[in-house]
Amino acid sequence: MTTEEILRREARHLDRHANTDTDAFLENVALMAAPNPVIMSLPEHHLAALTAGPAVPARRDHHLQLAAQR
Amino acid sequence: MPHRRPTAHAPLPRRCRAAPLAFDAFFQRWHQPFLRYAAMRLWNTATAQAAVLETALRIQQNWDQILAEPAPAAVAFSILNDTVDAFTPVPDRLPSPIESALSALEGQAPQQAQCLRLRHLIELPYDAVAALLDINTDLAKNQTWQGMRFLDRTLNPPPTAESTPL
Repeated sequence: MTTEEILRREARHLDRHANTDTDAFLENVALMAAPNPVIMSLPEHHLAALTAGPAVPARRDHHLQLAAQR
Repeated sequence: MPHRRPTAHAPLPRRCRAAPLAFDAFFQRWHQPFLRYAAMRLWNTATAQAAVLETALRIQQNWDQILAEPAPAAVAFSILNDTVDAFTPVPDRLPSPIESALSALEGQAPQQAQCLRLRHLIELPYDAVAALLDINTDLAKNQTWQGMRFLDRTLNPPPTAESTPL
């Protein structure tokens, strides 16, 4: 088997992985990029607080500390 | 569809900004090649799709700057490579002989390896290979040709005196 034939066989194998609808993909990108309307309806200072820092890790740490104290 | 949490690194835009038309046109051209490339690197359809989606979101966030670059496709391709690097490939899978040979070539001549992959595995025309690597088409052809010679030598080594029957 020549090198070109081996490469063609590998390329055919990739066909199985990649054949997704591009239009659906772009719709998905637009949906993911769009901000959450619930969050966007928050007042400006709440929004600033949301974007300012890692609220979730801090809360998780707090719960871990509580769990450790029990 | 879950929404992404806002982070300090990606400030939340105040209004929903529709994807610019040029972004859609860009991905109409590059979505399938990017997906094939990610699948080649990660060997898993779902992971490849997630990596390309992540890449698209990163590109969209910086679309204006990328579009202002002299080679937007090359910038997008480098973002794809960075994103794919962050994903874990399928474990415990033995590389095929061609993958092993390409990895060996990667160590010696990375541009030749990339040209070969893009031309012969992703099956892009030379002008697209050149655009993704920000090189000219002649260089893309030359690098692919040289890479092919390396693969030939590696996969079909010439018989040595020891292996030749007397």
